[in-house]
Amino acid sequence: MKITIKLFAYFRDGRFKKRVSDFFDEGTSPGEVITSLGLDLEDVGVIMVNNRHAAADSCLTEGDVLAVFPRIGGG
Amino acid sequence: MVEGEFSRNIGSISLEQQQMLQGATVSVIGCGGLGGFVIDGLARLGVGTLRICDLDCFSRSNLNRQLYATTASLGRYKAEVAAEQVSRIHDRTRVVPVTSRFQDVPEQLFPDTQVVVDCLDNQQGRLALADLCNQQRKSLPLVHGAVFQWHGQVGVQSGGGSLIHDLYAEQPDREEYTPSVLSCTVQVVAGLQVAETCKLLLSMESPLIDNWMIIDLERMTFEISHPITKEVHHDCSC
Repeated sequence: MKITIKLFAYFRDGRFKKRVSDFFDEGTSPGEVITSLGLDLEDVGVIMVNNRHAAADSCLTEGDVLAVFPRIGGG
Repeated sequence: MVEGEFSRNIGSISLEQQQMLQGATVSVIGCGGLGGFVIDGLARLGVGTLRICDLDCFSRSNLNRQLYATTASLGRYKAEVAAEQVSRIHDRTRVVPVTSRFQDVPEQLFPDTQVVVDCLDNQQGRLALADLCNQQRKSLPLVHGAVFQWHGQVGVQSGGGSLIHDLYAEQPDREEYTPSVLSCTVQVVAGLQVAETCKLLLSMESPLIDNWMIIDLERMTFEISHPITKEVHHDCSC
């Protein structure tokens, strides 16, 4: 399936800001995409699919836009 | 007043708005990195009353980014030092310092508050504060800020909103997590929190209400997210 992946803040370091990928099979979860990029799920704050909040173990389908935001918590 | 401390505010805001700020009360929870600069910014805006809360004392590792951390203030309560420093700026802001856990003293922190500012440094505290804001007789808007290295985020949870839970509830808190944070990041995020607090007090619109912006000072990007909406549930039988 073809999906668009958007990364934010330091998740872009050594990766990309936005990429269209056809590497993943239908039904792949956001969590699987995230870990395949070398990111630790513990560092993830918000996952959005098509501008809607999504769980790491939900399922992606053709044409989805996956946005991954890091957890930022210091004060 | 216009000829004095806040004369250079006028033009950005009206005299009537300046007087509204003078009559306002804001609660700042956390008086460390973000909190120090937020307190300073709100005082210089002319907010009349600040209720500020932090149970910690300054330590040497605070010196890189916390406005009121100096070699002279090490070991002293952050909230008390902040109150003293504001009194040295001018006498138009009354500061009420509280050196307890905010969860234990909501009656001291929120009795007459219009806006609460989240300057905490841990997820559990942020979630508890968001709940407290929504549990008040009239639920309170909460201006959220957070920092990490060169990155930060700012958002506004309206009274009764769920922004903080949307941002943080899915992950367990990290134990003994002491992230690197730069002073420049803290100052940018705190300045944005002050701007959002000012706009809330003056009933001005903002794209950050029930939404959040992520800030990347390495790439100099300020990106406002789409509002977080209901979770998608793709059927995994595909």
